[in-house]
Amino acid sequence: MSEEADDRKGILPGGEAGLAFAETLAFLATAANGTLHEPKLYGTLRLMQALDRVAGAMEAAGLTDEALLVKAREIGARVTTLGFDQAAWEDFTNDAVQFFVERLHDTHPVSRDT
Amino acid sequence: MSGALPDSLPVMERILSRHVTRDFQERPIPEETLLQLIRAACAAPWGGGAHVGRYVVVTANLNLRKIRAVSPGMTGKPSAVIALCLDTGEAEELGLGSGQKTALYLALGAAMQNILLAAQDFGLGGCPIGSFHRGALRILLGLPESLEPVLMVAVGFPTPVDRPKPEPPEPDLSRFTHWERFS
Repeated sequence: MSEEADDRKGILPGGEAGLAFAETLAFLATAANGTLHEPKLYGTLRLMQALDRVAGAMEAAGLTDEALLVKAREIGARVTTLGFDQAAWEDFTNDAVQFFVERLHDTHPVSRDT
Repeated sequence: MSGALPDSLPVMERILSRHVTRDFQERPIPEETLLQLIRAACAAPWGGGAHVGRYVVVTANLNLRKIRAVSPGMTGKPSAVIALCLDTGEAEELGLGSGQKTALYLALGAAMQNILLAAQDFGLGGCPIGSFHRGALRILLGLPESLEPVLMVAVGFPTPVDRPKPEPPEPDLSRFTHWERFS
């Protein structure tokens, strides 16, 4: 193994978490490339697929709690079943935004010191 | 002809009842079953009988995960993936070069449809995948330059919740059909 490859090994460690993050990086790059030639609506779908993957990698790394896991699984399940009902998809993504923003706000409160 | 079918048209019934499956059970598919799907693919019509399709069957979990990572079109977790490739090297040797490429793609599409239809006989569901990175798949499957990955089919046993979508409306055949000349 080359010295460069050894360096890379440190960025993407083995084990389930390393594999899940490596998969997510490959997915993100693939989606960025693929959406150049896909219908416009696929962009939003790919982003929610990516969200599902990031949540999965966070779970593998032990970076999630029960509420986030439940939400991530709900998103993962609906990504595969919602199809292209644009109105339902907009509600779905709005709901996700609300969940994650409230969570961001609650878990990292702002004070005058922050 | 449209609407209800008489009992004696099983192929037509298969065609009309097929739907895309994206949610699969975690259940392996017997190798013999997968070979039957390849047999169905091989029965597709190829111009001049020159079958230059090649089918790479993937069932190993880690390999499937890697393929999913470079296939945004694969939203579910299938038990197997069949990569449908064209052997462009052999096509060239047979005189089926760039001028025949469209016909070869069409033949591979027929092979894909045969796989999807045959899958139903084994209780399997399937989903054609066109959204994947060709170069990445080459790396993961060790495809030589002469083998062009064109499509993939994800197959597996449907989950109980994977119900057929609501019946699509009966197509207005007069919109798609033109008798004798286009009008």
